[in-house]
Amino acid sequence: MVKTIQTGNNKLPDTEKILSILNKNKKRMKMYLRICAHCSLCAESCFLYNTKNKDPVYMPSHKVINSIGRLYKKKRKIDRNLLEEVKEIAWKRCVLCTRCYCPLGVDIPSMISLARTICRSQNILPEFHEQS
Amino acid sequence: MYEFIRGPMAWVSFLIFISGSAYQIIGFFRNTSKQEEFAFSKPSYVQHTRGQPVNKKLLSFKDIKYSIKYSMIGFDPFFSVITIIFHICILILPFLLYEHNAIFEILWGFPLSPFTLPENVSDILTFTIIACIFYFILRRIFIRRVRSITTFYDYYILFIVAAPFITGFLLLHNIFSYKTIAIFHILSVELLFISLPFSKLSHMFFFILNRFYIRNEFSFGKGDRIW
Ligand code: SF4
Ligand code: SF4
Repeated sequence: MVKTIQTGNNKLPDTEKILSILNKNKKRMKMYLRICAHCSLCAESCFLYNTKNKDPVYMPSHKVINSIGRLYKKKRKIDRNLLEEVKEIAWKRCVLCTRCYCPLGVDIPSMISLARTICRSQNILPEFHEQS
Repeated sequence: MYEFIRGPMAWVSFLIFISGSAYQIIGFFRNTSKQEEFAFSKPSYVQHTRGQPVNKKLLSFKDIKYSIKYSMIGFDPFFSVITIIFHICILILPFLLYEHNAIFEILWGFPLSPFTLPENVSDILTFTIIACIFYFILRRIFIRRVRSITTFYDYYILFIVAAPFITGFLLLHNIFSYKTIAIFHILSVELLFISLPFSKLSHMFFFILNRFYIRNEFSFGKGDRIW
């Protein structure tokens, strides 16, 4: 099973498929990315941020800017390395518990979930057997 | 030059502001749709059915405590107070400033607001705004988590918000050449108007749309729309 997934991973990303997912959600995601005031008020609402020594990489806005934000920036230039990094963020740094609170109404879980969808569409998935 | 930025350019920037905002707001309603039923139960203090609170009696002290504890006031009280004061000041000062009202009375025959602020109060508000922006800059530089997501664009946004208030203050107190500062003041406001609907500052209306209309556990209003 794990072998099959790894073989799938060696392929180049299917840019057209990624673009179609990105375009379908463009209006909403772009609005969220645009209005995020980079204020960091959402930090303490995430239990992972609190339990990981307040490391900024676990702050909800940091996670969306570096996952879905980068995907929208790169568009056609999205490569496997980027998708691997997004995978780390979307699965290892967020559990989609939907507890994050943004005073401006940025829906962080929906953005992380879209990042997961994009990774999944390219067969890029966490391998749960691996040691972290 | 002065006549141009005071006349046609002011109108153009104002039109861009109005049409850009309308474009964003109409786009929001076109891309979201109304939902009748809630698929999940919300805490009683935000429970609504077709816009009516289900049971007003349920709004107990515990609910209020919960809503504050899990809002930004609970997470970061100091910054919350500063940002609330800052936003109130920038929203009221331009409308209640005596000089603005006097100019509009001459131009249009009626003032912007029925009452105005005394000069020392408007000075205090201006100082508060500039001090808050200074604090935002320090925060961006010295607090690790804010620094981790700060880009040059964030400083640019702070600059275009600060510029009208700094030039306005210089203008009121006749510091430097009146005409030059007046040009900079008007230009900075026009820049603010033009960039408002298309930049980060569009949180001005998306804050209301997201928090009042979109279905959310922490919705302030009906929260009956989804994307
Ligand atoms: S997601 Fe919301 S709370 Fe977090 S930094 Fe952006 S605007 Fe601030
Ligand atoms: S959904 Fe993700 S980002 Fe939000 S609080 Fe949960 S773990 Fe943190």
